[in-house]
Amino acid sequence: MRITGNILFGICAALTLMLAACDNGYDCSINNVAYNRIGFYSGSEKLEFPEPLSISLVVNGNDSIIAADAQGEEEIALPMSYTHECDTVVFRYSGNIADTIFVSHRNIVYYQSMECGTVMYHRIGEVRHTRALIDSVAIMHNFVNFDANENLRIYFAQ
Amino acid sequence: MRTLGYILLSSLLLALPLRMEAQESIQSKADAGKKKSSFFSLNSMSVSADIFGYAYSLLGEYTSGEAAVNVNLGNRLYPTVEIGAGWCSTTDETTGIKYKTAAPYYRVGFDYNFSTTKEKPNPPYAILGIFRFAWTSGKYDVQAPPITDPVWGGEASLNLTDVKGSASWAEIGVGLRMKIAKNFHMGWSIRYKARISQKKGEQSQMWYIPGYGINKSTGFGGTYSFIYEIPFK
Repeated sequence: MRITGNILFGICAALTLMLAACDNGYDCSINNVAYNRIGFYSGSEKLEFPEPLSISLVVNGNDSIIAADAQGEEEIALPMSYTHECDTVVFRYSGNIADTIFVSHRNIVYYQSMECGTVMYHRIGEVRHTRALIDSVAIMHNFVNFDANENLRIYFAQ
Repeated sequence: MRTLGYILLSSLLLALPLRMEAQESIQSKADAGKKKSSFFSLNSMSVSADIFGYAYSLLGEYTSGEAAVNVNLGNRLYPTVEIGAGWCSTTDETTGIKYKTAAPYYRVGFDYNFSTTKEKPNPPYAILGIFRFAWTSGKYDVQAPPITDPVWGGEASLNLTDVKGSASWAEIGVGLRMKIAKNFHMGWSIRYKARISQKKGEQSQMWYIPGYGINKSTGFGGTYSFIYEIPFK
């Protein structure tokens, strides 16, 4: 019986330690803003934009420049509005040429956990654009969250 | 503080069966050899109530209560059904988020008794291996303070009510059961839990899963039960 008692004690001790080691903590995401990730393309190839390019968002009626010099960039990440349902993005090229993209989206307040709080995700519905240099815009992943997926592809005229 | 609480509570609960095991050892010797049973003979049925879930509410943010029914097949295999309910109503001090839920949960599976031998076919204690499949389905509420748009300004808040959620998981563990009086037993178990699936909403997922605990991919849980055995022989 002594051996049995020792075995039982050992099991109890091990289980107690296992229970004590139980960790209910969460690993919260480091990011707190979900970006609309846009890739630049020419045909089927990714494009490092060859000309001077500035990209701005229209925020409450005013231009807010996100990238003053995006020449050589092949993608950009843009924040999206939490309360508006359409964002306006302006691409300004050299020679006073510009394109405007209108991104309609639904805003989704997402509850992560008690410890990590809430974040804002978005679901893109429709994209309209002008056609100065932009040939077309494709929605690749309409759900904008912390994943590094490409959400939109802009195809520039060749 | 929570870890210290675990240690104190589990030490207290685990100490009780050891004392009783010594008292029952004499009875065990008397019983040895008297009863012989085939592997699948239907020996008895047991009903039990778990108090660990209630005790845990002293330490954690949620409470549960459950009852179980099992049958004894040859003192070796115990097919088991467990039915319980878990509830939680809490507010996080840091994030200010309020979470509320109450839902039933169900487990089916079996216990395997490692302590039965030819010499002791029906000892007054049982060291058990525990295997379960479990699931729950219910509704929950989440209310969160508004978050501020860092670029455009303005705020957006979250106020969800009656969101449907469900989850399933598997449990494996070990347990100990001791006879404390004629037809009465006490027992505890500790279980490792692995989530199999969960239904997420567009804006949320369950934070507390009744019967499982905090919604992580794996976790631990335990039971401490009072058991009444109805013998068939």
